[in-house]
Amino acid sequence: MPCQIEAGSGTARATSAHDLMNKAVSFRTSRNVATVAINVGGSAYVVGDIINLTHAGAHLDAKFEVLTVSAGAILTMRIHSNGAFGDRVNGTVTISAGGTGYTIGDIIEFVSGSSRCPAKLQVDTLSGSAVATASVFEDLGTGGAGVYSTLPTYPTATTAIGPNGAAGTGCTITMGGSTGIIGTTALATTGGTGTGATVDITLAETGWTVDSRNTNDRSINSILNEKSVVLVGDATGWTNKPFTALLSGTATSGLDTRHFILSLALVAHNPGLDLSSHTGRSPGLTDETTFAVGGSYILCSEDTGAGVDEMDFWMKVDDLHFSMITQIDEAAAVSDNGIYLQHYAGLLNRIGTETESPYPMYTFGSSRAFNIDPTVGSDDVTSLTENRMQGTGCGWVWDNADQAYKNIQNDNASGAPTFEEIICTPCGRPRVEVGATADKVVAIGAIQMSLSVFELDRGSTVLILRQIPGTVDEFFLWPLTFRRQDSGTPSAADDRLYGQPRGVFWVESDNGTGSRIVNFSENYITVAGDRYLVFHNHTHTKAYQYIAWKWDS
Amino acid sequence: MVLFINETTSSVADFMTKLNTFLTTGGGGNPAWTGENLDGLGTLGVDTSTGEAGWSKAALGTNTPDIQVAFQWDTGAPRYLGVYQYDHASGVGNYDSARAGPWDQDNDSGNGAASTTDATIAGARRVDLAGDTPLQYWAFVSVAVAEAVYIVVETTAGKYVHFGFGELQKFNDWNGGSYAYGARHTATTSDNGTRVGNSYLLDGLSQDGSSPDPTNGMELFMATIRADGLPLQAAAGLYGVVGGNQSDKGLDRQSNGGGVDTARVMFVGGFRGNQFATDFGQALPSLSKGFVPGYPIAPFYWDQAGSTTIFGPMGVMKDVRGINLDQFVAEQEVVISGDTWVLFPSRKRSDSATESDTSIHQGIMYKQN
Repeated sequence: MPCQIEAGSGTARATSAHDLMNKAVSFRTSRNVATVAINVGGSAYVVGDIINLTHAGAHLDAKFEVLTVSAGAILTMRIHSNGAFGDRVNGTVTISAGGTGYTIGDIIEFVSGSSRCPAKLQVDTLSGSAVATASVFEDLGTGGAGVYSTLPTYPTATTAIGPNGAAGTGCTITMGGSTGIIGTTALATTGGTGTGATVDITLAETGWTVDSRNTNDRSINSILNEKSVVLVGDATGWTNKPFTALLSGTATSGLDTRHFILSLALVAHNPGLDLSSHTGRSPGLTDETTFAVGGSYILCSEDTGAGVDEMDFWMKVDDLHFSMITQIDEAAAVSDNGIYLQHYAGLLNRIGTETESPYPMYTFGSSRAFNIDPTVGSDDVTSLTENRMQGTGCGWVWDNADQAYKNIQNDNASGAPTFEEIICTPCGRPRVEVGATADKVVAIGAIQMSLSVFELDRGSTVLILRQIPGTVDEFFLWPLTFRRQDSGTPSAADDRLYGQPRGVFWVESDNGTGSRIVNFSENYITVAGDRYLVFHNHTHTKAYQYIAWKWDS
Repeated sequence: MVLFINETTSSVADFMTKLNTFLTTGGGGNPAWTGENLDGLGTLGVDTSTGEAGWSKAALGTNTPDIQVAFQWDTGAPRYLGVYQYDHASGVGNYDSARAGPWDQDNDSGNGAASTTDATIAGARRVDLAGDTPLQYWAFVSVAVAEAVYIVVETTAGKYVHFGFGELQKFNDWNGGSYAYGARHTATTSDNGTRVGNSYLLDGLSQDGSSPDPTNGMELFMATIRADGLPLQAAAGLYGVVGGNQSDKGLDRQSNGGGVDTARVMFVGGFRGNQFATDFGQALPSLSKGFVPGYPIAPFYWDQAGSTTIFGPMGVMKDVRGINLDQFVAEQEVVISGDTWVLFPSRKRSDSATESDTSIHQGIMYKQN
């Protein structure tokens, strides 16, 4: 599964909510480095070096970790980040026809060519109301925009897609060239402690496409160019495709501006219809300009008057599902001080055939609310394993039988932790039936993990779950499962398992002596030969507050 | 190549003889268990004259000792079948016929009565065959990844007992993993599925309770798992029992071989009282939806001395699951991804909350390999 890490340092970290969205869209719609092999080993490298592969068409560089060397020459590597490569339009922007009704700052999108993400330009100068000059937009600093399998036919028509109220028509564009797609053999690399290494690569499609909606025209909180994008996954081999939407916004609290992204899961998408008018979408959108508490929000760095912190991010994607974690405290000196926020969207690993489970669609954002301080722990912010929030929000799963999105909630933080109907195991507390009419098929027993090991009230736990003993102690990775059990008598009509989030596990933080692991987040653990990357939930570092991502790179 | 069987039986001796024939069938793809030389004269696997049986096999798991088990019934009054686990240092084929009986083998687990008398056998780990007329039995064997033998006996119409032995499909390479279990149920109640005084498979719910459950001594009925070197385990310890919140876990019988009887540790979880059971065991299956939510049976190791730490899961019982029988009948077969599974109640399936000697909808499903 392609992955991308931009953390700690470097210019590719996200500089704003819009930048984070652009990078997520570019990563999902571009091609990635699927395999890498050494062509020339170079010299003076050491194990652990991270070397970079870039290109004019690289919206995100690929990175490789040196595993073995011989006298400084690289022998073997593994992929650290798969990158985002594409054939992107670039070069001189020629205005073939200026059209009418444009304003400086308008954003226009190409309508011809075959692409997973059409290119955008921004109007720089006018002649009257006609476009005089324009430059590439959302190019992530490369000068190349969009990602094409067949370049546009020039001059290409365009459509105005922002800001709010943009009404220009008739502008056609001819671009000077394109970046081309990166080659695959003897490619030069940079970085690390050595020099001269070249690599051979193969590329693969990452598997998502912008579904005719990638605009910059929503007016939120007096900002006129808020973004909305809908992506559809290839979901190769499946009939029902996953549709996910991201919508940016801001809210004001005193002098602070709070930036966020709403994630929506959709079972279908009509590009001609307002997103708020779609049925079969997850909550959070009252109308096109009004966000609602109870959605799946990705909180971003807050502007308290000095701009926003750069955000570290980790992304993982396949053509069914997207995962992202951001760390929003630029000043965090160690990972225990990091503030990690999780986002997931797409299809679950289904339990059953596509006929039995046609649409296991879900989305999760760490926050149910959008106008909150993202750095402060609260009952509004949680993780995919904890799923503790007041009211509803954060995680939503499509219930195909009920034709509605259902809230995943291990604990309603409004009161004492209770049994909930739709939970994410193992941390959720399932209903164990008692009484005269009970099935009497299970009982709580000496240790109920969901009571003793996972503390839904964020207090101290009764038990510590230790690693599995052996020659080398080993972590156990608990798969997560969304399950529903009727609030009353168990019902065959209502009991169901929705599916399992892909490549995400609960893991106990145990240092081998029963104490939590200090600065566990952003570290790898290896289980059965596979690496897993660990993060804690927001600001919470108790032993039960960790997730592990399977890391394929 | 046959790794499962279902046969009618006419007596306990007939049952054990047939089981022996099946288990000791050799060659690739067959159970291929070693029938122990019970009398030293070549009576292998079962001796109906003395009411003994014994089988062993090398385990497949790393650091898992050979699986060595034995059984005893009263030839004069057959009903209870005592279940024993031992650990001769030389492994397979070293049952000592010169010893007093199955309970007297080297490094015995401590469970199973030291007797050939039915009433005494009933007072420790055993399985209740309800007399000398068991109707039929099934045996399900795993020979890949983890060796295991699961036996189900229909004692009277619609009533079943389960016993077995094998090795856990372990997680990590801790020392141990071979196990044996019998069954204890309460004939006077309907809630056998959730009574602490019962024991099924590796059962983390079993513990001393209140009448009609044993008020003490429940540890003698529990399944045992061979384990040594676990954190906070006694240096000479060789076994754990599988149960619930019970402080008295009893001693093994290492003195059989000149050692010192040593305290056993506690494994929890397993079939009942397990996180997986509470997460998934309540889910109602649905044939129309093709939903058969069988859950894994995984024991955890609980450091009761410290009381605040639990390790694991330590492994799973291979090719067996817990299941809610709400939509199923006893002995029903379901096919999941090409594999056939056979479903049984823990004791007797019933839709009544008041019918005695039943387990309502609690079930166990076994894979036919």
